[in-house]
Amino acid sequence: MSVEIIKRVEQLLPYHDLKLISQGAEALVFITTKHPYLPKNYKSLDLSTDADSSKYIIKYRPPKPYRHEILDKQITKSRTASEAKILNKLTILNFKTPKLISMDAPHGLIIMEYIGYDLNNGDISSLKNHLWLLEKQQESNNYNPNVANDASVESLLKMVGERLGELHLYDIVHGDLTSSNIMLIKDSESETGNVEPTLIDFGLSSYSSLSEDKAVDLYVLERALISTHPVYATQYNEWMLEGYCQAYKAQKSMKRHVEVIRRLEGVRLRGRKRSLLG
Amino acid sequence: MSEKPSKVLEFESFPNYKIFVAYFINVQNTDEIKSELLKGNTDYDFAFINGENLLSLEQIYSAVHKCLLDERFNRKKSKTLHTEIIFNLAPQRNIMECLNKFGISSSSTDLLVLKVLNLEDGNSIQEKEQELLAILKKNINGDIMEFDDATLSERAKLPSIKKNYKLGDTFTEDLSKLNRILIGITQLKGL
Repeated sequence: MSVEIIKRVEQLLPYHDLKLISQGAEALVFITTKHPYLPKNYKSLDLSTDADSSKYIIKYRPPKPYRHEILDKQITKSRTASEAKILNKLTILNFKTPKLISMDAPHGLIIMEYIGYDLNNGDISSLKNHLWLLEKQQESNNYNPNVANDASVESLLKMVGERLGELHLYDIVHGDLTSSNIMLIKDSESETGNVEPTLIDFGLSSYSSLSEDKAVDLYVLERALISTHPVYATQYNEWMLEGYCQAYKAQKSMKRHVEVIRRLEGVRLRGRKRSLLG
Repeated sequence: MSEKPSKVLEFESFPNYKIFVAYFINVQNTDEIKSELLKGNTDYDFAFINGENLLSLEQIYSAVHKCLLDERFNRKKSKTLHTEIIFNLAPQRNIMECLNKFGISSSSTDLLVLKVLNLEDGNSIQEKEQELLAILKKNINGDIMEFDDATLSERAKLPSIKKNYKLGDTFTEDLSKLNRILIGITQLKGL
């Protein structure tokens, strides 16, 4: 199955080297070292695109054999287009996310900037991998000293909350928040090499001003943290929500914050899906 | 000035295509060029792109690449690759409007002249480049410049970019950011 899909991408992008890094139900994600249209020695005006690292992300939505062919084409195209549009929108808003480089919506392809770096153990710098690495260290240290819930983790989780708050203040909901959909990037401006979190994978994102949708976003992240980091989740969530509150405070929108949190309590009681019984 | 003011752009993913480009400023005879182009004179079979809306090579690479992709999968919206490139640079949906604002018009003084070559005819690209350059020098009454980011961003007119791309509040004078916005517009064109 997966071999067939990879053959398809190779046919669509015969000149790209492809390294599969993630495979979900909806899409496959590859790393490539080739820019789709810029020559190798070209230095972009856009200085934040680090041409030397020359790594790019290819996201491919393969045809789904369980859907009707015509419907499948429409769905693939519209989801790819919607993801690209949101990425572009966020770039315009100065919200840090991977930048859109190229796309082929009818074939379900998006090529975007690679962000992130390699962790000490060689894994990609998602929040999940980062925290797992720290948690493992902590366990082998016999829980002493506290590397998995020290001040740097605290500030990281707070920043996650802030980013999410900022996103929600733009009336965009992420739709699929997990700790692997949060990438850590090294802040190029700070000399200490501070890492900061960046939200990625806007494949299920949409525009919404409803507190309900924002509350569900928070709830999904909460549950994801509980299942991927069971030992420390309570603490992580607390920090994350603190940061989330900060973002609203900074915009003087505490009224909206109160509403989302009230909703969140309701969502926690009933789960992600709204009751259809009215 | 450099010996070789025209350039040939290449795409690894489209090895058969070579894109000839040259950049002219202070063009005096735009009306004449436009009327010959409309007559279908083969010496004027180029894409004439208004320089004032152009900020970087990346913008051109991005638009041409999109056109070549659309050509490969038969999804072009206009008749020729040259119009399609202009169409993809512009945000407007109406092809005539795109050609007026991003192609050649009486008010344009700076022109990016571009020709897509499909190298199956055996000619060497060097010969072809010289031949095309000679034709352009004969027909265009203006000064040829090095085609690079420095020329493009220096000759770009930010107020025109703001107006023609209908940027409104999203306009910024930060060129790297503006460049990113323009590329986004090209890549999302038609969706």
